Amino acid sequence: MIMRFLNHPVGRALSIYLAILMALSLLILLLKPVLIPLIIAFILFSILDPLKNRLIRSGLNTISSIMIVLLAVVAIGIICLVIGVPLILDQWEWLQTRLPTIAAQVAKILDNFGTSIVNVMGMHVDTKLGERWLTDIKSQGTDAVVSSAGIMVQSVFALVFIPLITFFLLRDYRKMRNTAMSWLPNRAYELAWLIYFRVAKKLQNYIRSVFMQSAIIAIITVSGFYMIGLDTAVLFGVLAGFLNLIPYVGPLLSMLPPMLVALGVDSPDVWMLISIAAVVLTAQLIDNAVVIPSLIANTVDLHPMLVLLGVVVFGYFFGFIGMLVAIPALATSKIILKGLVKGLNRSTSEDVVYSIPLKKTPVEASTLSR
Amino acid sequence: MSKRASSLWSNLFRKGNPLTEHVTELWSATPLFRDIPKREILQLVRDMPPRHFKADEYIFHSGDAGAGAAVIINGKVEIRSGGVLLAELSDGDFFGEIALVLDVPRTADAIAVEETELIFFLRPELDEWLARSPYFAGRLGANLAYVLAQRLLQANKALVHAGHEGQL
Repeated sequence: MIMRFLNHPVGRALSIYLAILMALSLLILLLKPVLIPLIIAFILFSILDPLKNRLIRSGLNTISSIMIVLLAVVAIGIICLVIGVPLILDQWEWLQTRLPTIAAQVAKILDNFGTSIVNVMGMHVDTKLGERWLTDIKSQGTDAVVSSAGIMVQSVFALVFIPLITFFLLRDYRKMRNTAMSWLPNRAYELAWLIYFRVAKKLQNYIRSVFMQSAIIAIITVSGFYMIGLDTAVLFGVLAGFLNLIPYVGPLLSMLPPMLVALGVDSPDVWMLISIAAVVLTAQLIDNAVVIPSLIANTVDLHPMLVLLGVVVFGYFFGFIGMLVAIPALATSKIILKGLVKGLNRSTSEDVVYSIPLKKTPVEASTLSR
Repeated sequence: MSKRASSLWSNLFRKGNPLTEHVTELWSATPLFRDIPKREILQLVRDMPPRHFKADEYIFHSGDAGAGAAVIINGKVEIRSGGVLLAELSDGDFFGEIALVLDVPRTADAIAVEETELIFFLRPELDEWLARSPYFAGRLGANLAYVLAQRLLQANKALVHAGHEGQL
């Protein structure tokens, strides 16, 4: 029974897929200390490679093209560090000073809400929820300070490591990939290339589109929050851009921090709450009406329910990073499995174009009719 | 001059890899790469390692997924379909170019008759070349159309010939 399943194309495809998954997991485990900078370098490579090609097309050589795009990225990074980061840090500091008040206020609201549910509906709700949330926030704040030194060291390392890896990827990715592919046995060579081609194309399109989409969302929400007079407009706008990388759940999560800040005053302003929701919803409306149809459409072909389940399950097991990688991981798995099943199930269809080899000199009709 | 210094100078003024140059010459002689400068072809084949096949080893089976065309560096290849020998190919011949255009399964078997070394030119490479150098990659597209049109013409002639002889 098992042997019959393993001999079936679907069984073989599944076992090869599981072997790939295990090899990948091992690789991730080995590369764990540098995994995040490596992923960021690959994302930068995906975004910068078309720009590099554009410069090559205009007549520049490869190294000059790479240096120009990398210098542009470094320049943008420096501008962000000089202008954006101090602004975000200022707002973060302001938020930290307000955090105990916000937490206490929100805890009070949550506890009142819990008590009223018990009173009105007879349902049991944990009325100490708010109190515990407050303690959690305080302890997390202490942990964050303790770990900040480690984060600083990691950030400096990443600042050097990421541009270096991106440079080598932009220069040598093709050579590295071709060498890795050459290790494959002859019988798997062409199929592996085909699957790689489909996966790489989809993933690169997805990464480019999603990051562009997040940047657009961040710009819209920063502007919107600024216009409605939110003190932490840049901080929460940028956060909304990042959270937008998580499908479905992200937009809802992006609404939460500014709402909590608006709730964290003695007499919460209902109009502010409505305005925050309106900004996030407007950003989503523009995203759905303009950005998604022109950028994201057809980048991944997954059912919404599968996406939602994937985000929740990946989020449960791997946290925030898991939520970010859920869609690319699912889309890649789908292409690999589909490609393997198709490739291992030798087609005998007669409606395909007949492939006849061609010699350097045209083949004589007599050869063809043999 | 020390050994280290001399190796540095030899690296700076090194000649190209003989195999890469040979493969460039082979592709350049095919109708696929007609009117495409050798430096462009050199860029394409430089990072593509050759594949080795033993005698009687299948390069691909009919029905296999096809990812691109291959040129024979040395050795002999037979193309068979349903047991019928369609062509015998040797050094410098190429085959499988339909896979550069269409994502369809191979419809013939390619078998190495003796120890054979060949190098593939694959669709992902063509796609990337198109992004880097659309003029020359477009030239290859035109050449490919010419090659396939020639093939269609020959197939038509063969059909007419077979019709005249009452084989249809």
